[in-house]
Amino acid sequence: MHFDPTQLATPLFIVLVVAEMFFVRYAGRGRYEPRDAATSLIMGLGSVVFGSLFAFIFVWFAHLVMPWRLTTVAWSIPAVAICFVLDDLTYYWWHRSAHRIRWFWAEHVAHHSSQHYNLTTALRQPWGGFLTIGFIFKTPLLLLGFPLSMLALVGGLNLVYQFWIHTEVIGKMPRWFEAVMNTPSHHRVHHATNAKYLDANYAGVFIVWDRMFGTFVPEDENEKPRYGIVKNLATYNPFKVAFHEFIGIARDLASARSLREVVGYIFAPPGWSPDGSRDTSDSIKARWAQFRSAQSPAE
Amino acid sequence: MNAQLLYLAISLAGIAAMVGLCVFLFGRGIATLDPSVAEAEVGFEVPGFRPGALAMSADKRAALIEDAAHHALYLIAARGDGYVIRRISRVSLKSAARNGASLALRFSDLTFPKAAFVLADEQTARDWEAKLKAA
Repeated sequence: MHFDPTQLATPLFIVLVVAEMFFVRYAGRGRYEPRDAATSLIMGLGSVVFGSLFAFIFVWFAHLVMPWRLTTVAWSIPAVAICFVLDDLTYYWWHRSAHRIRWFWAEHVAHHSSQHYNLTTALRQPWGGFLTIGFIFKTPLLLLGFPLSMLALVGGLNLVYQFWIHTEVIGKMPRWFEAVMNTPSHHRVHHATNAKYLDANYAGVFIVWDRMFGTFVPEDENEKPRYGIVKNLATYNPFKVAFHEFIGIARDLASARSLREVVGYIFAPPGWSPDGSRDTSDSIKARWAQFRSAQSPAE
Repeated sequence: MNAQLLYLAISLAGIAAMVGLCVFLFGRGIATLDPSVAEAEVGFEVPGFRPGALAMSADKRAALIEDAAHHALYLIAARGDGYVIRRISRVSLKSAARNGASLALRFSDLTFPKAAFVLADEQTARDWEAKLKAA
């Protein structure tokens, strides 16, 4: 069975991006900037190229793991539905790791590097997956016996779902939907650099994972999200966008003076440094909390 | 192989068309700075920020700004329709060279390797050169 939801959805992506551009232009909600959009679109195309070139690594890995599977799940609609939900759970943990472990962040930062939040941002996909091998998070699903083709299908559906939530055009969805599903509102929080929004809402499709694991933060109508990363990039070069953090890791490793520093530079949260001179999301949040409590000690 | 190249060519043409539409609808969207914007932008990123000395570049695309509360220096530069901010420290600043009223800064930052300013006058540039070198 060969069915690539992302490829099939591409014409829809294009139509929706164009529609959003017109809406933003004439309704004034949201922002577009041509060079930013160009970078995002090229990143999207590049991710297809890199994904195609290096897909064999995941296939090879899957074939290493599959002999150890507990059972073999046959194709059926319930099996696909269960696989979709479980895949979204593994996505949550991969995504959370991608924000808390620099090695995975080095790949994922590309997706967050735009200071805009529109449908082209959804297409700003990383190129470095072949380096970080984040697909190891799929191992439990392979061990449970889900076929590789089913994982590819549900992974594609997950990616297609996440496209429409990258917009400022949609405010909030109905309450029941916001309670269960990832939405534009929840995902705006995820892409925001405001201290109160950092490291929140890692969900792919179901926001219930964030509610379950304590990482859910609702969008506050009094605090408009500001998008990007805490140290925004001053480049539109897609290669620098895709690989700058890997180069940063390499530079840090070259200056590391102990095994602790080597491990820290690779596996500690983004921004970690031996002397604490750089900002991590935790240090930023702590500084803002301290500042706010000093501002209003009665609270 | 030919089919893949065709896919690539069509995709690139599609991207070019979408970017063209974006330029048509939104223009080039180049941000400019004034002191109040610069202070507000840095203030958003730095809790407790208290504006100190500030020097705007002649083209109003960048500014050097001092945080009087923490004795820190920041560079803010327009990028597209937004801004990029960097704290300037001994670690991040590789060199600061002055030529008349111009300052040329180099950073150990892959995505922001250098910045050039034309400041209001030579004395302002001299003052900021001294501040930067002491950062």
